[in-house]
Formats: sequence, structure tokens, C-alpha cells
Amino acid sequence: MRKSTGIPVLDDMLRGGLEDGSTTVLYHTPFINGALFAYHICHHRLKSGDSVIYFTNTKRIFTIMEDAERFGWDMREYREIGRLSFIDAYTPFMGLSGEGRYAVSDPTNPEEITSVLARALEEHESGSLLVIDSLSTALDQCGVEVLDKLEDWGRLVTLYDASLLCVFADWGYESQIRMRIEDFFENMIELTSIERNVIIGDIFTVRKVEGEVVESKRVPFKLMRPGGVRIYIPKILVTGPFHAGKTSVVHALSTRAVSVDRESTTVALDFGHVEFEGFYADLFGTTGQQRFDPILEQLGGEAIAVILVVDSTKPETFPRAIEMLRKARAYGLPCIVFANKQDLPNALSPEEVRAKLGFGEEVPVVGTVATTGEGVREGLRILLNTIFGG
Amino acid sequence: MMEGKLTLRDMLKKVLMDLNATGEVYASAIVSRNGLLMACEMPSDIDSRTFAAMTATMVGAAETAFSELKKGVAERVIVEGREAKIIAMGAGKKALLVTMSDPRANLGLILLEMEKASEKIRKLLGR
Ligand SMILES: Nc1nc2c(ncn2[C@@H]2O[C@H](COP(=O)(O)OP(=O)(O)O)[C@@H](O)[C@H]2O)c(=O)[nH]1
Ligand SMILES: [Mg+2]
Repeated sequence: MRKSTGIPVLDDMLRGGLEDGSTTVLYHTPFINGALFAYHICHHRLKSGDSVIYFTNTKRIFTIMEDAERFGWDMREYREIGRLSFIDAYTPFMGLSGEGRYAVSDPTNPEEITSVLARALEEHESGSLLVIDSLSTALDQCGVEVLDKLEDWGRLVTLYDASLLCVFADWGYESQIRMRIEDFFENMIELTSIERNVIIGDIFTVRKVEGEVVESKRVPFKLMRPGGVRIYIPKILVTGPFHAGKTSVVHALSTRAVSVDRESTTVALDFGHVEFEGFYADLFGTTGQQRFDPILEQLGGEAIAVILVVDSTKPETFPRAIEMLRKARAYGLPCIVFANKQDLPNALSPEEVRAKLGFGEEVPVVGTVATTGEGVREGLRILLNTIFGG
Repeated sequence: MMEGKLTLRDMLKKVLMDLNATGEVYASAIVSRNGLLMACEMPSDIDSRTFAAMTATMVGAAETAFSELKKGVAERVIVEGREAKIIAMGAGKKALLVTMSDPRANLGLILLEMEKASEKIRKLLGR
């Protein structure tokens, strides 16, 4: 059975989620906190009724609980009812006694780690998630022999229908080690930072699914507190002619928005944050008036996608809409047209709007009423699907 | 196996931390001219990404207005409020450096420190 990770695009890339009996590595550069990504998956599995066994050799249990709390997740209740159990291999390493339900008295001993994992799996219901945080620290403490145990861990999760999720920070190990990791795990999720133009962002990607090496897209994400992992789109441009409804669209979509308005028209920028079904985006709404075009040209840069808003009752403004796309250098980006003001009696239908704009079938057009919010979320969903889907 | 490797992001953050540590400013950010946040060292109650978008817009508008006068280019934008002072200046072709400081802070000193920081940022960004 495949189980959702709680992270939308990732689930699709993993062909539905993590399967019981499967092994997955969360491979990350040391500059990203990979464990926080794992917490999101843990919390999602706990919420869906599964058990989670969490092995830690990198931090104390209360630190994990506190970090989770900052994401807005109270894990105490799950711990009390026995669905969340910790295997403490951290405090024993510091020479103290273990704090979790289970402890590894000698964290440098791979044999002992394996037997404690077996006992924990035996004492939890099947279908649970076993997290190792982290395999790289185990490697540092035990030496490469711990990698010889991976086969055993894989057999254990097969036996108990659990899924294994190992966090692995690449501190610059020899290539043989990376190769062994890549070889062993059936699924490989990689977290890295990339620089796109001048913007530095974190991305996740999937390198392997069900034992098959795959090429998949790189999905930008952010860790939100509260919220957890959110797929992050730093700039969606909302543009279109004067009075089309851009400001209304930004406000209808945003959880928080600010506008620079004078005499009820935008003179500089509408800016809003949108949280939507696991996605997080920043909206940049431009002004429509020609005299502000230099600002439009400046703000168009680095947009990931565009929402073009037009007043469906004013086809005479459509050439201006096209000109704005061009000026914002937004031509060719994933785009959706909001055929706005559908509530007005003389509004053209979305199909008529498409024809009059001269767009082909590849550009989706949705009918919207920005003042009531009708159609705008549906439109955003279609746009996100164009960016990340398929 | 911890290595002393710093990412570009860490380096930009360090420049800002050093700038804040001079004591002249209490918050600073590096913003792309297109309004995206690149790095910031700010109190958590400030919505840094909104701040980034708005300052870039402000600088863009000021530069456009200035260029209409045909008196050269705008070097910096200073906004003085009763409770804070915001200063923005270019840091290479693609980025802006923005700081917030006490309204009574010494402008000359702030500008001096900002010039140094912006030169570092320009070099770090390689443009
Ligand atoms: N009837 C109707 N009016 C709308 C709709 N969307 C926006 N408006 C109105 O159109 C005017 C311009 O909207 P605004 O969002 O400021 O447009 P902008 O100039 O593109 O930012 C305002 O009076 C809005 O209330 C809509 O879907 N239907
Ligand atoms: Mg407006």
C-alpha cells in the first residue's frame, strides 16, 4: 500500500507516496535541515493513523518535539498513546542514559542498532514508518560497517510492512559511499540548494523510484512555521490592463496582501502571500496604467508564472493585455487568463476571450468574478498544475 | 566530517550580520532589483518578503523618476520616518542592499558601512 507523504508534488513523483516495505533515503546537503523534511512526513503519517518509530543519533528527543511544535504540530498525544516512539542513540553517546521508549546503549555498534530496530518494529503495528535520523551520523560513529546492515534493515521493514526513511547528510563522503547509498535504496529524494539568477532557493527532487533511476523536476520548497514543507513559488505575476481586476484577484487569493493604492488604483504594486493545498506563492500584482510601464518591466523579472487578468466586457483592452505580457518579459512562461467580471451582463465567455486574445488551446482561460472570489482558486489550481504537473 | 564550506547564502548572511554588528543599523536585507528576497537579517515581526518587494518597487520608481531629470543616476533612496530610517542602495547590477536604522543614527556612518557591504555583495554575486 502506498502512503502519502503529505507533500503534494512529491507524492506524484513517488507514484503515490511511500510504499509499505520500501526503503527511502532523504539525501541532502548539510546546508539544508533534512530532518525537518522528515518531520513533515512523520506528522502526516501520524495524522493518518499510522505509527512512527523515530531513531535519533543527532539530537535529543525534546529538541525534536520542540521543532515539531514550531511547525504547529503537537506530537505529545501520539507519544502518549504509543503511536510515536523514539529510539534514543544520542544521549547514550554523550554518556547519559537513554530517554526514549527504546535506547541504544552503544551507538557505535551496528549490531545493537539493528536489534533495537527489530524490537521496536516487533512492538508496533504493521504499516508503520521507521525514520533513521541520521544514517550519515551512524556512518560517522560506526564506520562503513553500518552500511552492511542496510540489507538487514530492508528485510525487517519488508517483514513488518513498515517503510524505512533514512536521513542522510552528505558532508562530502567518498563517491563509493554515495554509490552504495544510491544502489541500496529503492527511493531517493534529494534536497539541495540552487541558485537561479540571483535567487538562492532550496529544492527537492526524486532521483530514484521503486528501484528505477528517474529524471524528475526540481521543486522549490520552503519550511514554513507553522505549516511544514510548502512548495514555494517566489513570484507569480498578476498583470493585465487598467481596471481589469488585478488588485481584486491578488486580494481574493491571498491570506495576507498589501497594496500601494492612490485614488483606488494601484500605483506601484499589489503583493500577497497565498497558501493553497500545500503550496505557497508570492503574488506580484502590477499596475495597468501605461505611465508605470518601467516598473512593470522591472517587476516582471524572475517570474515563474503569470496570471493575466482581463475585463471580459472590454475586448478593446486586449491588445494592451498582450503588450503588458511582452513588457513584463513574461511571454512564454506558464500562463493562465482570468476572464474576469463574468457577473456583468455583457461579459464575453472564456472561449470568446481566448479567441479575441488570439491564444491557442495551450493557454487555459477561466471565467472569474474577482470581487466574490468565484473561479480564482480554480484558476490558481490549473496554473500550479501547469507548472508542476505531468 | 564537518567541513568549513560556506554557501553563497551563508556568505550573504554574514555580510548582513557584520553590517548589523556595526551598531548603526538594526535590520538589513539583500533584495533582487526584481523584488525577490535574497538574504535578510531582520526582526521576525517584519514580513521580510513584502518588505523586499516594496523596497525594490520604491527604488525602481525613484530611479525612473530620477532618470527623467537627466541628471545622472540615483545613487540611493533614503526614507525618513519618525521611528525608523530606511536606506536602499545598489549592490551590483542585480541586487539592492537595504537597511533599517534608528532615525537618530548617524547617516554618514551608515552610508560608509553600507558602501563597504554593498561592494562585498557585488563581488560575492560576481556581477
Ligand atoms: N462586477 C465586477 N467588478 C469587478 C470584478 N473584479 C473587479 N471589479 C471591480 O473593478 C474595479 C477595478 O478593480 P481592481 O481590482 O482595482 O482592478 P485593477 O486596476 O486591475 O487592479 C473595482 O471597482 C472592482 O470592484 C468582477 O469580477 N466583477
Ligand atoms: Mg490595481
